[in-house]
Amino acid sequence: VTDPIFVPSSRSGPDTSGPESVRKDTRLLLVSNDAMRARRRPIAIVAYYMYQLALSLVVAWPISRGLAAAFGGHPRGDSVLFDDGGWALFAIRPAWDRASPAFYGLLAIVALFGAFGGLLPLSALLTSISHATPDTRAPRPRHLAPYVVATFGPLSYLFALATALELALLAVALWTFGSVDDAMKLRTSDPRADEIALLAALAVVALAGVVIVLHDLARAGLVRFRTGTFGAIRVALVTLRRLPLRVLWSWAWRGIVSIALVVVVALFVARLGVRGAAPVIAIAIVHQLVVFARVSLRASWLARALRAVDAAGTRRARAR
Amino acid sequence: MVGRVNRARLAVLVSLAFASGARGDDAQPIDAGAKYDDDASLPQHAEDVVDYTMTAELDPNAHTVHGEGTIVWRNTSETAVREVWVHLYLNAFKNEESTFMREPTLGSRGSGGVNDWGAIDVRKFALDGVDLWPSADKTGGRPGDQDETDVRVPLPREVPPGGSVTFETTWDDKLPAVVERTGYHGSFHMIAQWFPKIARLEPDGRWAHFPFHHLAEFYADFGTYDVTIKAPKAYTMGATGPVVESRDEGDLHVERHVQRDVHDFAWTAFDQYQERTERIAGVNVRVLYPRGYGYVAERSLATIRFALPHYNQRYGKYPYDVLTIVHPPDGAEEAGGMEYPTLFTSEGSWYGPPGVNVIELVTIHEFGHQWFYGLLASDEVTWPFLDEGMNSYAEEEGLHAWLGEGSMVDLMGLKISDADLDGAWPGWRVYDVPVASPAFAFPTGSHYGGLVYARTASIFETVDRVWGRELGARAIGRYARRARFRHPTPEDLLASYEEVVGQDARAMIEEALFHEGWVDFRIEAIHSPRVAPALGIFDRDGKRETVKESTPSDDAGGEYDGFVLVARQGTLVMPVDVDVTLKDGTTTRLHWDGKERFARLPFHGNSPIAFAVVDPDHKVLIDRDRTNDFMRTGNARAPQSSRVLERLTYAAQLFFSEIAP
Repeated sequence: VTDPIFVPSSRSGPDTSGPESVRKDTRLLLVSNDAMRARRRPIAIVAYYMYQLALSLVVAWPISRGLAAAFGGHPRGDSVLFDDGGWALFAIRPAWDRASPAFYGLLAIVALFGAFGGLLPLSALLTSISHATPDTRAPRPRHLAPYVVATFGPLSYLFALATALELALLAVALWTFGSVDDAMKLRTSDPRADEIALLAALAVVALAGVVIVLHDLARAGLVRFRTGTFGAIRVALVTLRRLPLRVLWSWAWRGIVSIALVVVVALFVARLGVRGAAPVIAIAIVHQLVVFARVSLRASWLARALRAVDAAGTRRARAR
Repeated sequence: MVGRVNRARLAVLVSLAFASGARGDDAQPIDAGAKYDDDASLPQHAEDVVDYTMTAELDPNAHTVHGEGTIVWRNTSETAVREVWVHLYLNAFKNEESTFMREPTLGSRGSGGVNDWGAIDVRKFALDGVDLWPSADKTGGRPGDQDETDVRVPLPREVPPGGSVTFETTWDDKLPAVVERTGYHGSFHMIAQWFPKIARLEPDGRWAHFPFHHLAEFYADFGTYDVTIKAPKAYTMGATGPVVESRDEGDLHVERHVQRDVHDFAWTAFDQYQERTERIAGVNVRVLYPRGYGYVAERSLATIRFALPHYNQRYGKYPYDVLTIVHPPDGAEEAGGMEYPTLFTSEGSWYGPPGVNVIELVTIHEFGHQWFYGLLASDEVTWPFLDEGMNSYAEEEGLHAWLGEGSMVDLMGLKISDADLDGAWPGWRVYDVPVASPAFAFPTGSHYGGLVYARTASIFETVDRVWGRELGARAIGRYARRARFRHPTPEDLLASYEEVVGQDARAMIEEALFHEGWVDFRIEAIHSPRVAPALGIFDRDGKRETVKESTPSDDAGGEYDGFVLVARQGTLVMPVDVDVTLKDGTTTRLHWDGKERFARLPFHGNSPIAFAVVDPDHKVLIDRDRTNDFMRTGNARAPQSSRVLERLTYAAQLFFSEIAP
């Protein structure tokens, strides 16, 4: 354990960068750069996974209960919803037409709560990866709580800012696709025009990817250096400027693996079918392994971001 | 308000239709009998009523067509005539005063407005050297109406039954930007409804004429089309009928197409077309498609490889030598998905994902119109269900025979059938308008699509499933063969089903088509107590004995008596199966003729009833509510419901992992 940032230093006087509510027995120490590894904090990763699972069940549970009630009188229960042809899916259409506004309302509320509420476990994960107790143990919830509360505000500002920017870039990407497509279709074949338009739109989408990376770097900087919102943005920009390819690739390969996992497993599950309990249990296990793997990849990327903001020498930039 | 007016108008129209013979007061089945169950008695040719010999030249830069030629028309009715009615469909896009533009029909093709107006100007329409056009009534005798799609031309002399006249005509088309099946998009040109077209004269001397309605299609007499088409050499052309002559004239390429036994002629010209040809079941099939759509062309051809032999077998042999499939480019979608004799337009993006069978569906649907429109030539304005509805039924049957339960979507384990999709489509619209209504009587395009296409298909698919596919195939096959080239009415269709499937099936079809008929089967109650001595006070052998209830568990064995109470709501009557599953896991199938409102189906077995399911094989595609088709007793444990929860949770986890931090 090195570099204590919340423990008062006799030479520099009391550290005021930590939250004022931090008590002595909950003080944490920043771990060395090499020690910032997601795999050293498996419980934090499991906690983050459990948070996503709980959030998902808030949406999935009432719908599945409703469908179970609708098809509970059938000898095969709600598995008829998976029957070839789709008769049961169409049978619930009238009920769905009535219930869908409520569902979308619930989804919007849960998504909003999930988006901002999720900053708490995210902050806990970041803090846990980057800190340890003075006796070098992983922080416990009572250690993390004051840090999580203290970072919630700046993380929220960052999230709102990044989301607005990403949505704007998405709109620009759509507009780019339409404009380029219309222009090119007068000059070349439909497929070629679509391909060129798609490439142009992907260039804009790539910018959105950069925003996502900057967002995570800023989060890492915020947790690591206890900066404010704009200080964190500065840290992120300096980091990306100094290590652009390494940082972007670190994020990109994990993202690609995350998407590939979903696609490959979807193809695999399509072959399993749903008749009988064993395939359902097998599918559930496989799906949860996928989700856990994606959460782990996310945590791994965040650990990389925590290391990157230091490796890029951003502390000096922060000092300036 | 609009809905009420339409309903009232509709009631009158339907009444008139019945009174005028649709239900058979004076109309007889064309030629009853089993001889039409195969192709041995298939009519070889249509009655030759109207022959068009025309020359047309396309200016692709101005998007104009100059046409001229002769029309030989024969009076095949029983009465002399002193007028002819001429349809100028292209004038539907002339201005906002056309009937087409004034009918605000939501949810249908052509609802997006006209980006560039189009029109047809007849320069000459002469008989015996005298131009009759100046004296023609351009607005069809409708006072105050500026629609110019339905023109009455008085004749200087009477044309007796069996007599004929030859008109010489010249005209100029300004094509609209693609709208409602016709027009141009860039250098792509789909030239349809483009010439002065004589309306059909019914055998009783009535002209079947009408303005071009938004939702309606067409109706015409058979004849021979001998059409010479010209376009710049850089353009590839396709048209109705085979090419009998091809040459260059200066900067123009010239093709002469001749086809008998058809009732329309459409053509296309595009300087970006690529082409594939293949001989399938004795027919030269040609696909014209934009660059980059080779994948789509192959999928269309694959569809025809299955469909041509299949339809030949079910509906009588395709009688023409050629079939042309035209795939419009992106942006010209309104020209797609439309049928003409020996030619149809398809739909689908160049990247259409495998497993989402839009290309196959549109291809087989438009191909099926070669029978249900082309060869039968029913009145598409008055009885749209006869062409679009019966063709949608043929599409459902054909796609299912080819692709199985995933006929619409077969992707990542999800299989959606075209038939189940159609079964659900009409929804509440079933109660608004009879299916068997004129096209212009439907209040919205959604009603038209949901009822004319989907509901009709579901009704006839239900007949197949309930009374047997073999009977259904024979009935529709007999109808399609017997009515070939004969402009059938609903009575011809009903007669075939009555002859082959029976009176009950006919009654069901008629009720469903003409009277907004509906049905909802449901399990009302289940009762299956253990067989036990009667309870109560009994005087036996001079002694009074009281028998009290004993409550052994269901697992204690013994026999069970009881019943399943099944109900039928609605006006449609048909037989149905009921599956009874006992607590010991065995299932027994019962049968109910469905004639009464309720039936108590008796039960006796060694285990109590756990579940009852009415229509377990989903034969009644038009069952209004399928979620009341089953019931569980207190004896049965609720089935596991973990599958939906698992999938939904996983989907939500993926969703939240993307939007949450």
